[in-house]
Amino acid sequence: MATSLRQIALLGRQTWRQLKVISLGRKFSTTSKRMLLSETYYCNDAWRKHLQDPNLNQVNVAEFGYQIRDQLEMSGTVSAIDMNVLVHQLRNMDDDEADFIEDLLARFNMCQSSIPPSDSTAHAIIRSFLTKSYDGSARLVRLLSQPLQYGLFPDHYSLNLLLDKLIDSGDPAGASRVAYHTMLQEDLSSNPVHTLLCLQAAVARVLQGPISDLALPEPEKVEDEEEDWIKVKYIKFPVYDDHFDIKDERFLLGKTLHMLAQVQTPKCPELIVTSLGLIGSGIHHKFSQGLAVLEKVVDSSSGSVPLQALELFSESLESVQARDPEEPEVEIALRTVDDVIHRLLPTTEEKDEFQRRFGQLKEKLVSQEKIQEDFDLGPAVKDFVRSELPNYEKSDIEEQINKFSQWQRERESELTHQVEELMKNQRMEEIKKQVKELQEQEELLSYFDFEEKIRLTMMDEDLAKDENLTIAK
Amino acid sequence: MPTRYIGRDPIFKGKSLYEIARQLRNLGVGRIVYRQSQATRWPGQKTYFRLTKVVPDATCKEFKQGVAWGQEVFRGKARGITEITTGHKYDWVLVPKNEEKSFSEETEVFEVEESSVPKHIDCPPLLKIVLQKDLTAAGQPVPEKIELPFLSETYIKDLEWKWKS
Repeated sequence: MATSLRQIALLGRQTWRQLKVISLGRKFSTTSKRMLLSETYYCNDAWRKHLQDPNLNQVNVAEFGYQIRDQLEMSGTVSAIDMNVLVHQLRNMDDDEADFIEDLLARFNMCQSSIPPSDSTAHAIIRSFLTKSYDGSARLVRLLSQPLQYGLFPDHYSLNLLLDKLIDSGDPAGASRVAYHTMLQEDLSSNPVHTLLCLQAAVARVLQGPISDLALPEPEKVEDEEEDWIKVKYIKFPVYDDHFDIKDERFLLGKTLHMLAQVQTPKCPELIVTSLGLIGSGIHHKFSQGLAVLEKVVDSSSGSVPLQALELFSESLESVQARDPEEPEVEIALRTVDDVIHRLLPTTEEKDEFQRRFGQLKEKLVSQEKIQEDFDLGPAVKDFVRSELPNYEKSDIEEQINKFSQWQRERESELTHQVEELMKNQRMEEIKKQVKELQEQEELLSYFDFEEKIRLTMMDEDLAKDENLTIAK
Repeated sequence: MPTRYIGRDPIFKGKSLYEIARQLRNLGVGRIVYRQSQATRWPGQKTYFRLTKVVPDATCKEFKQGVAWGQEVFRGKARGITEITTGHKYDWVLVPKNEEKSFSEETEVFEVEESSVPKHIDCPPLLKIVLQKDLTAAGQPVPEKIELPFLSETYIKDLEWKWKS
């Protein structure tokens, strides 16, 4: 009775899942809203064809997921190809199993088989999470922002799909997080489509609200509190590389904008480049770089600066917290990363000098009539992105379709290799067993020829088990 | 509550190579890394690696284990692809991509002086007399200067090790 009830429940669950997949698929494919990327860019047909690979459809996803978890718990490792097959089937899993999948991904990242990372796996994760009706894109953003924990490094094409979805759903915070991911890889110039989407995402984030809202909350300082003493062999130096260690979103955004200003392809209009360089330097507190941008404009014959960018730079310069140059450095035993970051702030003298130079340059710009008051960065970037995107889509589509077939070939060869390895190991086990049996048989047949030797071996074995033994059992 | 660490002062002021690599796509292959302590020690002579292969130990939570190879430039002199044996030390720094060109520009090169190890040494006086007598007795011509081949300590140790094994 219990079995039949369970079967009915399973059947119902499967049917419901199938219905949901069908409905999701329809919703995903018949979207009438014009996203930034065209529908052909998604290569949905090629992807569906790719998913029909028989190697991917031999498993029941729910059971396979639990098998992988058990394997991870028992042996601490799972093969990369198994994980690849699982993530290709994630679309068939329930929405409430997303936490379970995240946990699997984090555990898989701690397996040696996750190295080198696979583009196919990363692409399948992005596709699968995007088809989910729940907060799939938000989850992906979280996975991307923790590379040491999840080790997710998708290719540009996959990131473009995610960015398009985030921009379309009006989530500049999430979209800009994806742009920060690429900025940390210092890879904003390799793929023009990705560059354009990152540009739109980062600019939308800047113009979303006051920059000060992006700052980290000030830590509460409690004076005269008892210290917590920890004994260590060597004190670890608090390292801050101003790149991977950046936690303040202002700095991430500023650095992204500054890098986008240096991109050569696609070539942005001069006003956008100047705005990005100036705003980025200001938000990242690299005021000397921003002043260099202004000096370049002053020295040029035809350059100009948008008023909007000047105001944002000025706002950042005004609001920056200057440190006291006489302030003593925190002793190494108590020093934290926050103290190191604090030392990077400009001193009061430096801030005054920056403000003086900025005032002078602004006056020069006014006298030379090089300030553009009617330039609005947001619409200018939107127009530029919309006009440029179609020029670069075609090459990405062709490349991606080739990649699908390449990934399929790689998967097949990897699976064949894995099966061969498995057969080899099984055969070796069998041979070992046969050898052991033969040895035992030989021992029985030749016992009286080697009686003394066998007795000595038995004694050694007994002594190994019990050191206090004086005579063999 | 502020934390005070009690221990020796830190020697290294960087990250482990494998921590850097695991934060990069393709594990940082093609990127330039250098050791902070070497940059401080020889500021004029660049010492760095351009990574060619990195295999970090994924199971190590402190990112202290793994193997890596790279095109080595030691004190300004290119040494080809070599294995990086100090990747576990918290001493590594990643060079930003836009600074790679200026960083890897040829600078001062450290030239290693050829060490003049003698191949022969003078014969000790007593041994010299014995050898002269032996040669005269055998009817062979006696050279004016008798020299013995010089065997360095390292060479002798190598020979001993070979004989033992």
